[in-house]
Amino acid sequence: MKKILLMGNPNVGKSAIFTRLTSIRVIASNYPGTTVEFTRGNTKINSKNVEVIDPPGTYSLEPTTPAERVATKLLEESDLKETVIVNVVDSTNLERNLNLTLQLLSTDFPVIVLLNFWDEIRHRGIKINAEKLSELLKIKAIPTVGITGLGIQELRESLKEVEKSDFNIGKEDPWSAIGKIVQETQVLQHHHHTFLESLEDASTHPIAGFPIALLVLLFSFTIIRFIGEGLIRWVFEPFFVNIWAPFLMRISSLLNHSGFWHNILIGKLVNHEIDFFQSFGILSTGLFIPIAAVLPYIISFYLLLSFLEDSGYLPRLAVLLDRLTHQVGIHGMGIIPMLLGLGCNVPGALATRIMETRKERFIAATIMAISVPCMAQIAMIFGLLGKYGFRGLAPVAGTLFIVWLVLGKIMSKFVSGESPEIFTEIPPYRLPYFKSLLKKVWMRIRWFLKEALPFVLIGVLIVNLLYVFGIINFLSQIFGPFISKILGLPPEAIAALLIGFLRKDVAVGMLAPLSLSMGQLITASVVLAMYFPCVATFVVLFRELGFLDMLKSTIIMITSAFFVGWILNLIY
Amino acid sequence: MNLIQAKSNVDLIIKSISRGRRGRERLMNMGIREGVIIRKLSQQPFRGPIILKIGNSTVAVGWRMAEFILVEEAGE
Repeated sequence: MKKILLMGNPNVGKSAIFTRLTSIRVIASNYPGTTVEFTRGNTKINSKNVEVIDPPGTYSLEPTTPAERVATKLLEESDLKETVIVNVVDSTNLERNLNLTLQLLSTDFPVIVLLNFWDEIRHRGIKINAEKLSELLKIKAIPTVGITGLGIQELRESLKEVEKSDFNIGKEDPWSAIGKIVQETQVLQHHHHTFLESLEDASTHPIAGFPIALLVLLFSFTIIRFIGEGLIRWVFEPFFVNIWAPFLMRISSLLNHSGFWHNILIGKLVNHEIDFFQSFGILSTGLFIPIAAVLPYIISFYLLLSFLEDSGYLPRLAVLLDRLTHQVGIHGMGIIPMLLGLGCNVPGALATRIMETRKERFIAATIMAISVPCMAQIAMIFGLLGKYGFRGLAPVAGTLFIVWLVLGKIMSKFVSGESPEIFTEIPPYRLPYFKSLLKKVWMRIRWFLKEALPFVLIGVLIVNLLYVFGIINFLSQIFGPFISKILGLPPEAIAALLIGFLRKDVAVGMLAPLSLSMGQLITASVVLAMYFPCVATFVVLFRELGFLDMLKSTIIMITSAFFVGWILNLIY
Repeated sequence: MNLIQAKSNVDLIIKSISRGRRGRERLMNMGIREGVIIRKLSQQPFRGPIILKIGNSTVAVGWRMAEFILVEEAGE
């Protein structure tokens, strides 16, 4: 055996089992030709290295979404002799889960079934006879609890020797076969509604759901700000101010405080000191923006979002907002790419894979790229406009929301294709398994560091080179009149617009030394958010949508950005 | 009657699902099929999604799809 494939329905706690089974080093990779991600790791069985693969969850081997298609493909591609399927089953939903189990048993792979959430069945009034199930399906059925690790040792033992089951349902209808198995293995008793279950019902209640959602979101933003600001104030800023700045000043004096290399590495000194927002050298602003201004918010944002995701709140929010998202031609689950996009647009673009049709994916990706600013941008916009408080920030957020709604509405009318309705399981509230949660947050942070950091450094380098060679001046002269007429911004702002293609946070940062008025800052922030996704997002969207759709999407972005910027300029 | 007309919080038995093969298959993957007992928990206003309980799982179904699910009260 060389490979273990963890198959199961969505929301059955697969990732906790995966985390329990594998070592720390885990890789998330895209399935070739798609943007669907799955994770892989390693474990030792019989003191031999075995690869563990965690495909996306699927309800059946006849897929309906791109993510489910990848799960089926990963199975089909596996070597029969070298692969064992571990089928993770939600014990509280035995009947529905057995559908996939029977489909897996009809393949030629050896299968082990894990009865996960075993601890939850008792208080739900369910009794399952695991031995009987093993006997009927002619395979191992092991009760497990991902969070506590129950059953994992037994799984490891069983993996040492797995035989293919000779279970065969023949011509019988699968559901009637499942019905018989469930009848022989499961007893249901009456149970009382628990507090958690009442809360579950309340959070999708047409009236009570909205105040709950508002509370959850307010609470989330407070926590995100608290953790983010805390990290900046107590960890990152002290480091940059007390350790990094003196070090850079020493380099600065070695370079005699001027010259080509000084400009590139350190940048301009403000009052004989380094100003991390304005100096604009690779080692000063180039490192400060991604690490001290943006990373803390990336950490806190993904910590919270991953918690909401794993606890089961997001599908409930999707149900509540389904009517709103229908206005823009996508169903409620489309808020998930939007929320992820608030962290970074790239995972947001990737998450559009949960949408079923091309039309939905196109609309979701385009309005996400246009009107959902990423955390990097939000942090910088806060830095610039924060001093005006609500008066400065609300117009930016409000404009972007109106753009989201209007543009989405227009696209839902004109983009051809189908907008299917919401159809999703709503998992019960569960306390997330902390280790898988951290693993997920770490993977997302690592992604940011790996992809964003180089772009920021390159961006700062290019800005400096453009200045050194006078190209910015040249472009300011050509496009300056246009920029000031339409957007009311000084000609120098063209540099920010150019760099916005590379990194939005750097671009917003470039507005700082221009001493713009509040109205100009609002216009510039909105235009920068809208006119083009950053390079990293562009690449992902390109792969996701293909050349033609990406071209259309880009045209929509640029025209609407300048149109909205022009209107804002008229207002302010 | 269809699922939209049905009362909330009573046991309903699914009589038929008048949808194409693909739609039926998707519903079936979640365990929604003829002869199964479900409960309608709530319904969002303005033709919003309907929340059902089936066994121990909770499922959100869009309005148009719910119109195709024909049910009867199961009684005692």
